[in-house]
Amino acid sequence: MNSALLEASNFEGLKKALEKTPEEIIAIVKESSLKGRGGAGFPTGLKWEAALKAGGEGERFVLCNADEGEPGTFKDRLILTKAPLNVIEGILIACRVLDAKKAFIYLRGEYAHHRTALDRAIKKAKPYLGANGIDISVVLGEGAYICGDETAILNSIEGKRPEPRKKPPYPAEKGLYGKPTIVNNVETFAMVPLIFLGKFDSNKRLCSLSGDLHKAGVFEISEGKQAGTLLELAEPIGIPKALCFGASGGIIPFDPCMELTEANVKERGAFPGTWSVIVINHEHSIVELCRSIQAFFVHESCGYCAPCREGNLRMLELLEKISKGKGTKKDLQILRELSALLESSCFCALGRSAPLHVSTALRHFFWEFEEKCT
Amino acid sequence: MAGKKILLNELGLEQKRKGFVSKEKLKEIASKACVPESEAFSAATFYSFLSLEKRAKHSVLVCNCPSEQLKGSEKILGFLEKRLKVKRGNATKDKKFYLGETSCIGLCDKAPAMLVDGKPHAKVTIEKTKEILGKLK
Ligand code: SF4
Ligand code: FES
Repeated sequence: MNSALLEASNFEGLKKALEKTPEEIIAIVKESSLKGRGGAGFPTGLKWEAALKAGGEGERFVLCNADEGEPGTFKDRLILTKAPLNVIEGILIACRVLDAKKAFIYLRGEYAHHRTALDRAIKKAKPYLGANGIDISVVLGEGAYICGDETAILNSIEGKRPEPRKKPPYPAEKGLYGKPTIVNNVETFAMVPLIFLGKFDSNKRLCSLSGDLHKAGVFEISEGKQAGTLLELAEPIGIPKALCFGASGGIIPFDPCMELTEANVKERGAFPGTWSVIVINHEHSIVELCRSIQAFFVHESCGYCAPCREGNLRMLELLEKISKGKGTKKDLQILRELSALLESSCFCALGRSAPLHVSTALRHFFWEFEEKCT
Repeated sequence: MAGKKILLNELGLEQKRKGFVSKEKLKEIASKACVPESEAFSAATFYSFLSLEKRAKHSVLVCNCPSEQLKGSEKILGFLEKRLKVKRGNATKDKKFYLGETSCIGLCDKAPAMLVDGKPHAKVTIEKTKEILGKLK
């Protein structure tokens, strides 16, 4: 795909940024309105500022989250293969802000085969690394969705069981080895050099489209684009019925005229997160989709807290029962209650967003569930 | 932290080398990484790609996330179960193949997708699967 967002910076962005002071860099990043592209959407400039202002002596770290694991998301894969240098430049600019000498890239085990491209990019950046005494290490994940959580990654790198940590303190204040750490994902870092080249547009972002499509892939979307226009590019198979935002973002009815904004998705009870959109057509059942997403969460719950560990399991049992046509109306009520329970009482974002697919599906596609229940 | 080894990287290397991480090796790696052995054990048992017991020679992991199910990953899994005479989540009797499901491997645009010994295969069909299996010794 062609997107300004994937244009190579060739160290030009980095050079421009290195002329600035940390405070100036932060001001420019803030001004750009760049928000984290890993799902939560926290303003990047504010995060960096918090890390710079965090007190304490000693080391500081920069960490690139390349553990893109949300089902339906593969835009970081594209960036890692098409513009890995931009990511390295972004990391180096963050290092400049914190005067950090050590950076990590946490690459998911499933992307181990992209390691070479990354190593090559690090090698290319050697002059800049050397001049500033910075070392970038790649840490390879070993298959755990929870490691996409910024605090679970910290534990993973430190050699601990990768369960999430309590926030606050945020990684910006107390991150890796208890030191101030800037954690951003691949897409976020890749945008940073473009800011300094004046090529960044906060209204544009990458969207991973998959599901019932002939031409699944990564597309650039701009604020206000209509869902129908976007889907046309990807050539739907059959008639689209629903849009599913990864495993943790919820399911909403497909409305061709809906403008693709976070507010519009949220209004329908869902959350666009990393903008991974799985398209579901009329031939596929929403109940079956929920069962499959639920199985994913049962597998990926880290098991630390009871509502997520047990609740997801119970929800899966109910969804399996319903999908076999053996459910009752009472089961639907219990599903609703369990969803609400998980949303309010799980320890981390994984558990709290896990039931979103069920709560949104029950809201928008209730009849599909009802039809299967006695 | 200077000079300290990253536990996860060391475990991963050993897994790649030997197909599993033995008790002795775990102890050794833990001390190199300055992590208590119990902590290293608790970490090592968490990840799906790591194993403390010898696994089958080849691992065949089919992605079963929603994008895949829409594109027929069940068919591929069903075929593999029949062909290898083993249910998913298990190794064949001769310990040659392990057949499992995996969460998203980032190839959702090219579903159905699978990882065979860590190598990605996209847009797999039954024909393609046969070919891939044939190449595994
Ligand atoms: S909500 Fe789930 S993933 Fe998060 S800490 Fe609890 S058990 Fe672990
Ligand atoms: S959902 Fe299967 S590769 Fe992403």
